[in-house]
Amino acid sequence: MSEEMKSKNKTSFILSALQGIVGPECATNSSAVMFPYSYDKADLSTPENPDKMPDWVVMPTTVKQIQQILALANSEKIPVTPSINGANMGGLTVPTKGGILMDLHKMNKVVEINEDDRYMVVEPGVTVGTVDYELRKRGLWVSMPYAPPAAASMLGNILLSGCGHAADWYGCQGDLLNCLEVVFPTGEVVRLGSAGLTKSWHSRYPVPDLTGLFMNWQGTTGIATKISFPIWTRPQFLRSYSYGFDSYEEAIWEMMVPWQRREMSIDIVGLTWEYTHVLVDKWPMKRPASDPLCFVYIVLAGQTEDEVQFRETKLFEFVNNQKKIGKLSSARVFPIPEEMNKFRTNMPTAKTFGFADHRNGGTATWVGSFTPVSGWVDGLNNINRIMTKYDFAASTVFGHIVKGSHHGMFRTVIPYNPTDQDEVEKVRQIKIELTANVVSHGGVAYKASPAMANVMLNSEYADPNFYEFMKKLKNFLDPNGIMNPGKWGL
Amino acid sequence: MKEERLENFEEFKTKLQTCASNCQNCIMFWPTAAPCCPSRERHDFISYSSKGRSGLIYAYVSGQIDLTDDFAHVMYSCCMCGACREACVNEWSKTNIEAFEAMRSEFVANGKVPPEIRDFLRSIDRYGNPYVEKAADRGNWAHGLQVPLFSGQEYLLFIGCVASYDERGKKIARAIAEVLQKAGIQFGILGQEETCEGNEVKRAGDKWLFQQIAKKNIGKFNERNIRKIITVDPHAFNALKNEYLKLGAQFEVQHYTQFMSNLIKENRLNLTKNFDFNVTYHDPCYLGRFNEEYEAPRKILTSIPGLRLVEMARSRNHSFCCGGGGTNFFTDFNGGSVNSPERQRVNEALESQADVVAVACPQCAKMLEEGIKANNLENQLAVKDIAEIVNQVIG
Repeated sequence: MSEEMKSKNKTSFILSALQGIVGPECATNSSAVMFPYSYDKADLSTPENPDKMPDWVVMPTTVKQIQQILALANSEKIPVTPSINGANMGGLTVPTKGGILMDLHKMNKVVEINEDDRYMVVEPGVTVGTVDYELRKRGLWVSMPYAPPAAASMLGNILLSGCGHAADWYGCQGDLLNCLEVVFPTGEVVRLGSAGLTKSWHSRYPVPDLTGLFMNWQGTTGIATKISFPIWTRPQFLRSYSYGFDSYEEAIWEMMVPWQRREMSIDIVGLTWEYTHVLVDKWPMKRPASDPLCFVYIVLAGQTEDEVQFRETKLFEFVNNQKKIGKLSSARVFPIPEEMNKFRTNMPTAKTFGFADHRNGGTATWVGSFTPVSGWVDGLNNINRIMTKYDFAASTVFGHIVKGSHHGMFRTVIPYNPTDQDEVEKVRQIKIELTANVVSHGGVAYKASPAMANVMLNSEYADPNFYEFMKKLKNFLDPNGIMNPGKWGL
Repeated sequence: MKEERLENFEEFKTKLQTCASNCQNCIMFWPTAAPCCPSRERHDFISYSSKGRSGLIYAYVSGQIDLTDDFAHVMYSCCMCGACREACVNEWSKTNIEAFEAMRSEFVANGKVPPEIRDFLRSIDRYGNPYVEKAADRGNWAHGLQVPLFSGQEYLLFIGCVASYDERGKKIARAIAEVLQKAGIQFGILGQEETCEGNEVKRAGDKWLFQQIAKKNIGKFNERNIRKIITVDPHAFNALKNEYLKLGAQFEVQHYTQFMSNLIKENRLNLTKNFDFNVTYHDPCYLGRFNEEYEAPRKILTSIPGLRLVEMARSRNHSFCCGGGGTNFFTDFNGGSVNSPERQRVNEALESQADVVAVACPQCAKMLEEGIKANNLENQLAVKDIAEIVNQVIG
């Protein structure tokens, strides 16, 4: 039998097996149906220049089906790439070595909303939009991820440690994780956190924290099938304030950091002028001389008007006191564009990718990280240099300072035209240089695409034992290396 | 890029890229997060969403994929219901359905349409209707009603193919005609001279056949000096209002619910009998989303004694298509599953505590009745066209 015939036979055999598990309509090897799973802008693939096609796409609806699929893949040594709603833009759900693309969006049950114990349990396919809608009805909320659209998976966002819109109070999305249910690459299923030992999904401590074997691993160690996270009373009153600055030092060290130490706001974020304008202006754009270099955007919340009014009074007092001692010399109340204001105060938002068409090409990528505040000023200056060199806008967010500490999101968004190959090559290089910039200032990229992960793992600061330890754990959990190969260099 | 392919998509190319690479918000209404795309709900793969389709079109334009049967199935299972446009807030949403039509035109031009579409188009081309029925039988729905042929009356009642030939549709046409007669409206029909208006032909991507049909019909209307048209079917209403007028037609067109709503407002219908039911209204896509008529049908329903209007979770511009749009009424590419749109929709109607689903479209009526049968809900839920309810309560 020729190799081609053997390959065809195997393709048919695996398809039959998958269809036997999930039903004939939930598994396919149709190239047209599978094509949209083959590109993702993180590593700049597009429908015109796709990355790697899966060999099969399968859509399970139960944990048992996932166990059976993984057992099959493991015995046949077939790569498995988990995906949920196709909203990931980190290149993490493109099957870099083909194999089975496991589309989990049909597992979309809200398993539990425990209003007494204040946690919510959901399956992977439950979107941030659904979480928001269900909680809003009950007067509850949770920190909503910033950039992902309403259609993105809540589980995916937490497990990849996105940044939320109330980071100052609640931390990054990864801080929200209570408990997980996970299927191992070998097919076993386990619950972690308090759910591993009790019927309650309230926390991941004080039991051994095994959730870390799956958190931020980009699906390379197993398939998460349930997650729980805390929920809180939704503030009845939200107010936002925007100040303009002519200096990064002043914005960061005279405003953001000392104000964050008061623990008064739910969110503090710095935005370069370019970031606030990519949503509304087309490239090329030039900052008017009267406009500030950057903005600091603060959100206050309260259950009562008095409460939020008290915080506002304290904010104004703080600004006045800083000015009295000679600080905040360039600070002035300066509203960010209304479109951007709406975007930032209505999370999750349907308008997430409005900036994508900034360069008339219709898409955008980014380099996002968590970086300590001490690296921001120099990091921002480097970003300006890099982006200017390549003739792009230095549209950067520095902020969402994570609760009780001084690190936060440090992210440059890069709208680009994917049909212009020269521009694509520039963006490829920009991403490498921006990632190196982040790392050199103590930052770590989140949702790192394979290319970005490569920069981090090979930087001069990386402890070689870190990667060796990752590989050991990976080999232990996934002896045949089937789970999402190519991610995190694994 | 293959230049000859790109030529047909020049106006869409950057927006195709935007949609293909971005958010996937096209699958849910905002802020309810309720699913909105009927074909994605039915087939589930990302390819069956607006984002997936735009990626496939872009891949085709780029020469990455060819016109295969599977690709055709993805494109033709789109109901062209416009829900994704409501869900999407980006610029792309203004042209995505036009791009899908252009892609369907590629299948037509290359002779690669699915057999169901081929037969549908062939029947309309040869017989003037999709049912391979004789033109002579087109007016049979009016048998015994004394409905005159058009001969200069104030209004033409344009029936459309489904209400002319389909047994369920015929009942709706009869109800409308009876209501108009009871109100003393001077109207006529074209009978065997009426032919398909072509809304679904255009949606199928046969823009060439559509042009022929539209020009012939406009000529027919002009010859008879027809200046006011009432349509039974929202699909016909859409074509006449939004396509024919662009081609130089000169007439006023109303959907029958708009006309009937005014009759009620002017007290020209004596609605005296009780209709003691909970009724929910299913917004037809080509009356609602495409022509923004949400009020007239509801005004009629709330004028009916005893009737209690209850809304489904998804209604008005966030209505969920019955699954029949975009030629799927004739091809059933979204049928055969518990996830078929019509089956999901009748479940939603039941959840609204309705006894009756009111419709204003013969295609919706038939689709939803099939959903009720498939879900074994015959004893719990009924489908009635608004005209049928009105006709029933006139004293």
